[in-house]
Amino acid sequence: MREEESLIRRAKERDPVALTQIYEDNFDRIYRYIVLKIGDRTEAEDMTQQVFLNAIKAIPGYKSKGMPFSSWLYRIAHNQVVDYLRKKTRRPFVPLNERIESGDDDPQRATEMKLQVEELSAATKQLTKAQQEVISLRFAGELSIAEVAKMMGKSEGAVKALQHSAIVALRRVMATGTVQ
Amino acid sequence: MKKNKEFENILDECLERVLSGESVEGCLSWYPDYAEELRPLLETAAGARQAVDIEPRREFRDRAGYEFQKAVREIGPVRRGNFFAVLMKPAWATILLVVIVLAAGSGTVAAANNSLPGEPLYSVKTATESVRLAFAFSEESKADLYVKLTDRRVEEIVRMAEKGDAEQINNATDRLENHLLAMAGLDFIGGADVLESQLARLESAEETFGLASSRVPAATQPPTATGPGGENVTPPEEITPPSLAPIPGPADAGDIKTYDASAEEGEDSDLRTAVMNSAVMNSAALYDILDDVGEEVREALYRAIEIALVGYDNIISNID
Repeated sequence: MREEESLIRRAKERDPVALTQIYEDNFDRIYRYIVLKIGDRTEAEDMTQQVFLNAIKAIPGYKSKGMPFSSWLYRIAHNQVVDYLRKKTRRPFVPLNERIESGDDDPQRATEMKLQVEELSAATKQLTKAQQEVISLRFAGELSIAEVAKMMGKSEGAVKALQHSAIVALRRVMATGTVQ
Repeated sequence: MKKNKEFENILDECLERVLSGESVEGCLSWYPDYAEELRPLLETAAGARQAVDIEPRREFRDRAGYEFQKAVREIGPVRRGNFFAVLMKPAWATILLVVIVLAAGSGTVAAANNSLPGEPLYSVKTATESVRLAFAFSEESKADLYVKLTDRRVEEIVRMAEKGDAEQINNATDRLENHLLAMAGLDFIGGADVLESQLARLESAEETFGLASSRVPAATQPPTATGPGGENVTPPEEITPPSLAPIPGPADAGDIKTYDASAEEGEDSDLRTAVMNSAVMNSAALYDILDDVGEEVREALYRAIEIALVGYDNIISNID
């Protein structure tokens, strides 16, 4: 923890070594988080880059508030995603990949198929916002339950319950194409 | 409800294992009673994790890395305080300098120079120092100025200790630490490498300090008191003063000698001498005041000593 504190202190002074370390430690995770949120790898590349450019500008004003530093980066990424989705022309709902939506009611068989991130992204869009966030932070962001709980302002128990319901809902979507 | 909670905990534990690379079957073997219920959920989670386990394209990663480094270089390090960052822009700095020179004539700056942390004119004092730093264009002149500023901070710490104000001791110590770090970061002293090592040593020193409540070296060991029954009573929770001692400590305090640079050669010897003298005088001053202050400020003083010792030592050992 002290190591992270020292790193952040130096990063707040815009020390190039500290900033680079933060970049290296978080770049892939932030990219995955954004891809899962928007389902478009090319757009996610530009947005990931922008997250870190924004972070360089904003980091002198960063305050920990007892949260892990990565949660601050996810907050920037989240805002970026919200902006992107707001600006984007609303497209008609794209159903899940045909092979998943083809009426195969056997959930096991459905999940045995190799899932692409774009399909997963489309599937998670049918979950509630809170469920989406838990799935994104846990599976793409690789955050622990405790970190997700701090970030979402919920208890760990509440996040575990959300995680449970999110996976159940995701499985249903994967099997049928819709949440029942 | 209780069963639900128990299942959610088990699911989470299994998820952690699956996300760490363990097989679904392996997880299920830990909880055979829940296997039927767990299996579909873990398979879904494993599928999702696999789907999201992607990496950015190589060319994108290279481009993004280049852009990031370029932005870091362009934006540069932070100047302390946004207010001063604005003031340090050439036009503002010139105006400010003129104002300060005029103000100096009226005695305001002179008065501010004697002010102490917490006093109304103290902000004028620190502002004046910032302007002086901004106009110290060479690294050598910056280093000279930092040496003087560290002397000022130590003087403030001593005065605040006399007043029993631990909070202001800590504030002045923070400024002292900033000066020492800034000096260590000057390119001709060692730049980023020395700064890195100084930060690491300061961290380690602070960690030692924080954990050192039971170690009290003989030099500052409080006298053992005698209890009502004649038994020896050691005062509780005595805090250890720093004992890194690369620089003269309490034993030298009664006989302060400035550093003799006659044997030094090279263009940095003057600076080295100045830093050595500053280190000796300041550490002695900090140790001296320890004997005259109450418990309420001792911890803050130990921290100040620790930071001064580590900071000076690192700088001195890197000036060739």
